[in-house]
Amino acid sequence: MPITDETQRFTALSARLTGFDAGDLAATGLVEAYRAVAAERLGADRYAQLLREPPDARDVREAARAVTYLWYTGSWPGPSPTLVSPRGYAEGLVWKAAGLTAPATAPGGYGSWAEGTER
Amino acid sequence: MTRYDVIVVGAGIAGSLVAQRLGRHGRRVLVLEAGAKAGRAPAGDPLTDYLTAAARLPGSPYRSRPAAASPEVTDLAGTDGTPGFRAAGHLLQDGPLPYASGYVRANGGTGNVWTGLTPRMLPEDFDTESFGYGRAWPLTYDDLEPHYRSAEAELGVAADADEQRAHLGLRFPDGYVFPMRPLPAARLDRLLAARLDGRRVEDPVGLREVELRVVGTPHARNGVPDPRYDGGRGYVPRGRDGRPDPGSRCVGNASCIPHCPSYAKYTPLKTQGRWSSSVTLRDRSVVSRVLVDGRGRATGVEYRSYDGEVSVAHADVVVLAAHAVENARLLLLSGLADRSGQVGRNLMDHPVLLTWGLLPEGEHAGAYRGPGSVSGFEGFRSGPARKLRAPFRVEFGTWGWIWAKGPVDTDVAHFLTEQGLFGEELRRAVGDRVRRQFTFQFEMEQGADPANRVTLHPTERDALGLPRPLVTYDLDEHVKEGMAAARAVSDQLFALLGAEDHTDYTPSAAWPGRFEHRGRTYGYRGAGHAAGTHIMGGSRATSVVDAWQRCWDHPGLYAVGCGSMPSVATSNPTLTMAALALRSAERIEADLTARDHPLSLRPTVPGAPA
Ligand SMILES: Cc1cc2nc3c(=O)[nH]c(=O)nc-3n(C[C@H](O)[C@H](O)[C@H](O)COP(=O)(O)OP(=O)(O)OC[C@H]3O[C@@H](n4cnc5c(N)ncnc54)[C@H](O)[C@@H]3O)c2cc1C
Ligand code: SF4
Repeated sequence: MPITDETQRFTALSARLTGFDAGDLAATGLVEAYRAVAAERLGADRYAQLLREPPDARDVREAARAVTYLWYTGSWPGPSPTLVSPRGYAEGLVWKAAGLTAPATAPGGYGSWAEGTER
Repeated sequence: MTRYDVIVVGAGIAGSLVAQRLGRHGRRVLVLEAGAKAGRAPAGDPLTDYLTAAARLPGSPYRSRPAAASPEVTDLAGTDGTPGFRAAGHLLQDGPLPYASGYVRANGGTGNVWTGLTPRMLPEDFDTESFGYGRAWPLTYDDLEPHYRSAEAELGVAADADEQRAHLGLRFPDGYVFPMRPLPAARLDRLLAARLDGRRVEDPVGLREVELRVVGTPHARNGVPDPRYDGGRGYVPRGRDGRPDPGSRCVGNASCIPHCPSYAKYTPLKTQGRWSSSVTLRDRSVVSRVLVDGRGRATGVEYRSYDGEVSVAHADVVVLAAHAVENARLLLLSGLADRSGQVGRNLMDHPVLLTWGLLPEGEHAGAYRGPGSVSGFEGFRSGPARKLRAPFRVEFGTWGWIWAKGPVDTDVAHFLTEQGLFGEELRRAVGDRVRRQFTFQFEMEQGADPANRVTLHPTERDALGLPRPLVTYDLDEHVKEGMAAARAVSDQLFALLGAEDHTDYTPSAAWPGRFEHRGRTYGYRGAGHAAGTHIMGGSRATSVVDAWQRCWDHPGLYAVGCGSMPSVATSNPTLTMAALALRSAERIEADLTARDHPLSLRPTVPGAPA
């Protein structure tokens, strides 16, 4: 898939919002999918505004939070958040931030839950 | 029409075990199951399997169907005011406090989604009347002991017999080992053991000091087989559908509730996979009535398909195994077995006091890596303190704050919305929080109280036109005093650990089970351990079933499951339930043998009442 200007701008925005760099984000394989979700959920105007304005500006704050939440959890926020794809759950940045993997995605093997302690 | 020897109602853990045992004797068994058979996962991809089971995606095998509805987590919500909760959906409630547990009506039942912890009851649990509460069992620990071993074989239990003997006072035959070696302790367990083993905490309600000792919990999930098992014959772990799978191990998916993608956790589907060909499963068949003849003997059942078509099946023995709440509902719908007036009464659960917090800065609990709880403190389960407060088992929760606050998504929302963090700051805050999280789960024994009960709702009907179950439930002083003791213990544990206590039973919407006691607020969850609704006893005047789980009033009618338990004790109840079910299967087999050979002399089952 060609890397468009818009993809680049969405990646840069996402990096600022999440604290993960463009390489980490690209490694999830979800940039394009999330860009499309954000554009669809926010609507053209709000999406364009989000790309334009600093993320902590008052009028884009909620949109910025939604995109960040999407990256961290794989779900778009709402009264009952909707999971975008199984991959979104597995690649949720919340797990990476804690140095963990999402349950049921990459089991560490028998006894892995004991790791990191002697005895 | 085919005539069956036995009809089993419900293919959960209890029903699947009874059918398996009788099938092994060649009995013709019809299993009628309200739920649908789980379809095979489309791609067999473990992640998709799990997410589908967790109902994050459509098509969940455990989604409730209108014709066989069951309580959903979202059916219960806290409110401000009195009572402080609202119940909607299948299980309606009108008590002062909520019965906060659910169950699953799909093939395999609640046993699909359970955690898989399998401790035995303590010998003293079989008679708590000397402690001034509860009801005595018509059998003892020693009567049940051989059946515990059978249940441990069927479910495939990993545990350490020496540790259970030393720290819990459990009696095992000499040389007994469990089928599999104990699971390795979790990182959190080791950390707690290093800091707390041998320390003493005060129980201000039980008026004594308790020495802390981290003890491994028995698990019905595959570990390393013990070659000494069964007189040196060893044990072969069972994998998907109960197939022998020597290499199957719990690999730490941390998704046992609701689904183990590696099939290391026991579910009834493993038992069903070993049913003989004389056992027939008919799913989407909702039993609505038990049929009896003029003398009260069970002759069969009436059941309905999802589109309401009514059928009848006949057998010599009918075994209700539809879960504590639904068993009671079925007896009430049939107007049977209630000479004692106890059907539906004595509903018990383990109300669970949760406390949660963060390990000291820089430390990490190793959350979300193995089973939801691997070890606990067992020192608060026994002894004379039971006179003063409910006893409790303490489980260490290794899945962060999931039970108290919801999945980690909640932490993300907290830092994003309440603290306004973005970027590097957000990443650091979320990572730190998830790494340091842990929970204590204090599971209280609740004594049998006839006022806590299941009845039929006077007006509300389900999709098949059957009255919905209505629950009236409360916690008594004994349980509340147990929670007060638990909270005081928790306070000391946090202080000894230097951990940050984040326990806070707000917002009220998230805590339907909430009450004030001596000026402090407590919040509880339900463990899913429904018991007591067709209580077992030594007399037909005061109990619904006898020591074999036979309904006193109706020859040929059994009600099996936790509903028979006169006390729920402090152990997760399913192993005890399984032991009782296997014991009943022996009795049923003996009944059927007597039917087939009425005149022959045969050995009586040991301990059988004449
Ligand atoms: C989240 C959770 C975790 C748990 N963890 C543990 C644990 O770690 N340790 C432990 O000991 N216990 C645990 N439990 C409790 C355990 O799941 C139950 O004790 C056990 O599953 C009860 O088995 P059962 O066979 O009696 O009922 P179920 O497993 O509920 O099975 C009953 C079956 O009957 C069927 N049925 C219902 N009504 C009808 C009808 N009218 N006609 C036909 N069929 C019907 C249902 O569809 C179901 O298949 C947990 C429970 C929950 C909810
Ligand atoms: S931790 Fe994972 S592998 Fe182990 S039983 Fe639970 S889900 Fe299965």
